[in-house]
Amino acid sequence: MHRRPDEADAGEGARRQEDRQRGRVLVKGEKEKIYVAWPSKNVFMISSDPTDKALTQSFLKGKGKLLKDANFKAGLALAKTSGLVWVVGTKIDDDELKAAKAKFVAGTVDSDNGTDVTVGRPPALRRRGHRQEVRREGRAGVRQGLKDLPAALGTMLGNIKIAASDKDVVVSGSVKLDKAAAKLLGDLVKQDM
Amino acid sequence: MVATTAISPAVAKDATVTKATDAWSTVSGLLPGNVVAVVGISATKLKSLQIFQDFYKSVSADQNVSMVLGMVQGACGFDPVAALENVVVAVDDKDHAGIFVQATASTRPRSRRASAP
Repeated sequence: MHRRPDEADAGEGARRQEDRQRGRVLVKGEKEKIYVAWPSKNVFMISSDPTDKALTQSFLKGKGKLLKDANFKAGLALAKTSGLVWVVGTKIDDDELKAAKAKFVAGTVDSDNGTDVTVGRPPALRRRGHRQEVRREGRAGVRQGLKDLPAALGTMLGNIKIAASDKDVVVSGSVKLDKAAAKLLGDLVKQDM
Repeated sequence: MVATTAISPAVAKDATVTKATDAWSTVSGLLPGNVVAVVGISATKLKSLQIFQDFYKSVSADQNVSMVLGMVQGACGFDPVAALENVVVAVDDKDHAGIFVQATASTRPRSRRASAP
């Protein structure tokens, strides 16, 4: 049975003090183990609760079953895994996406090709007129989104295009990453620190 | 100050391989079916952006940030920012995350139990 990190024993305070004097700080609960793994030589893994061995193992012993999930596979095919940031999600929490019976969301932000976000829809929604409908809805959504953005962020956004196939909705855009944007991000971080 | 933790060796023997590989190609073959979201970040591309370089310059000027980075470098023997290549985060259906970090250098400790120098 693992102790939680906050379940320190009575003598720990003294040890922690002693360790500080020696120039070290021990993680609370000296005997507590933190489980990490190296699935390959240069890849290091840690879970959101590193004291939970079973949780850490769960991410390593799945034998790639995720790749057999049809929705995840479809999203993965649309994400660019070599991009700056890419996302594939199959748990749909957003009410509008739920109403649209979206099965996955996939997106890529890249430094050279801009941004693509795709919402995958099931075959039941692939109907005539769908393309025009999503273009219209998409444009309205983007217009509203741009209105809601702070002016400084709005200037970072470049061309935004809405495209729709019979299957999926694709929103493409580009973000201008300039010094003004860097300053804005820097200011935001400073506010948090 | 050095954080000291008891660190186990790789917890999944069948997942332990020795050759260096891309993070996603390693991770994709391991993840279980209850993962509902995966996010990949190319740190190599991120670091090449002017916006990151400006951002990093301003953030690392902060004493606390430079102290933490220096501490990690001292404990691990490599610059964590320079070594970072890719990060993949997998989230399961209970909102637990597995974070996979790919680095240029091997981050694996030489001994079974990592300890402060």
